[in-house]
Amino acid sequence: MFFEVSGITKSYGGLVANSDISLEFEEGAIVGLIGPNGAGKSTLFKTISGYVVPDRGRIAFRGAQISGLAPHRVCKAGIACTFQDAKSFPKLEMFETILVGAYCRHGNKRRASARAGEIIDFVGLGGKESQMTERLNMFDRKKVELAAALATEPELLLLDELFAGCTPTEVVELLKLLKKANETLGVTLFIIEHVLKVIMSACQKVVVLDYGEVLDIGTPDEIVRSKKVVAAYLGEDYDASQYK
Amino acid sequence: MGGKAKDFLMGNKAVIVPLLILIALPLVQIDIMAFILNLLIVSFMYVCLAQSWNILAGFCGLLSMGHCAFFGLGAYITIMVLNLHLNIVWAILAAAAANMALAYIVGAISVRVKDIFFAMVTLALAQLLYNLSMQWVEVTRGPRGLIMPQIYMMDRQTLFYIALAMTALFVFAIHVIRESRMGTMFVALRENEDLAKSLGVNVAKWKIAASVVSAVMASLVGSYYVLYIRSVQPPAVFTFNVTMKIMIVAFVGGKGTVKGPLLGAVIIILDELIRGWLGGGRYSGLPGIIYGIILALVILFLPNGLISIFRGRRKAA
Repeated sequence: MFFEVSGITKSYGGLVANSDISLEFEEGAIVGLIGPNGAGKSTLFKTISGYVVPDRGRIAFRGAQISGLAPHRVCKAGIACTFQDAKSFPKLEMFETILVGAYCRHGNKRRASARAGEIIDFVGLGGKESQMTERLNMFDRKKVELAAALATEPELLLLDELFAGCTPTEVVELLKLLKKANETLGVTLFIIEHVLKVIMSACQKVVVLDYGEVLDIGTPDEIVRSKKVVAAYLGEDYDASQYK
Repeated sequence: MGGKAKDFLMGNKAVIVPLLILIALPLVQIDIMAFILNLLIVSFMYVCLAQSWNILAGFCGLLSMGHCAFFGLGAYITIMVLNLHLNIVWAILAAAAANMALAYIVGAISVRVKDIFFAMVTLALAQLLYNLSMQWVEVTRGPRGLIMPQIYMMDRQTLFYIALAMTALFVFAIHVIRESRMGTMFVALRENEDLAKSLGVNVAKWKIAASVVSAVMASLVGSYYVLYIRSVQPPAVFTFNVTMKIMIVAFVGGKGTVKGPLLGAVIIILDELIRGWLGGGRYSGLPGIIYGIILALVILFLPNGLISIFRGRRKAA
């Protein structure tokens, strides 16, 4: 199996953020992770990327155990992530930000720079290389964060609410970019998202969390028809067809 | 390396003329030349120390408030080895090695202790070395300090050229580091450690590297200090006063920049001149006041240092 989470449990004091979570998916997929606020989505992502050490359970990537590894080792193993609170290097030129990611696979500056250049073209940020990241607008900064993650040449990319705060046009553009990354770079995507349009139109598989537990797993169509999901997250008057 | 040095010089033509003037300067025969050379030597030492501090604090974002520890340890080890009547090279290498060990510890601490807490730890470390050098009389002769054997004496002109060469080397080394993978890793850690980690940056490795590079540079200045001053006493090397001056040079010039600390030298020259004019009489407190006012003005109006006057709105990193 490409990626497998089995029995991950994490509690903070009395609060159980993740309880016995198990899921798996194949290489090349786009998988969504949805659920109400506080359902444990971000905790699960942080556990996968090494920022949180789980109390119990195991995460395997291409058969090798990655749970318990430090974040930079998880990245080296081929799993990159972006953060819910959109982190950046404010005082670095955009190019150098991407370069940090490219150095993950290429120790040589010339090769790393070439890689960074390719990724910048890929996300369409060409021409803004020497701008300081803090001077870029929010949407470009999101693309920078995505590009830096892609520059580490991940096989699996975790995106924590990348689309939050985007206008509908920006959502479409970013979505195109992600599909392109999935198709041409072969990156498997695991996406936390509240923008349901993204989940419904891009994902082949959706995992629903509620109160730290897996509520349901299925295709988008199955999920929107699932009574428990509708009750816990989507709401009774949810009309799936509007997001097609 | 040669090509890089040439590129660096060509990219910074403004430094060529001052460099040539400095090289020719000792050949001028005037009465106050000894004073001028001494003034420049002291400035060079502080520029080099500021460059060393710059690696840790300016690039890597690790606010070292005990930087005199590296410098003082370098000076003490150097003079101890010289007192064994060994070659100067051994003394310099021994000092650098001792500093690498200390820097490894500081680097390891910086992985666990952040921001102001790291600053306090480094401050305490310098104080610890101060006390050690004062109390461990059998080895350090305590407050009386250690004296360099006569055979290692050098004339002022030679010492001036060594200081000039060291400064040029340091500025060039900082330039190379900033342009290299190491420099990118350092500034990434300063800007956002969590993001750096997620991009595969090994935080412990690069923080320790920064600490070691910085400490070895400070150690070299410590070794030079011994050759120049010919003696070492605890208050001259291990006090916060030294650390503060290092930080002021970096701040006034522009921390986190390659050329900033060079400009910061003006504050040392100013300090020495004012003190020279006023002497130690009833105005002995005045230099400190002037010093403080200049620092406050720079921080208020040029938070990125004097260097920002020259580069306008361009990047600060």
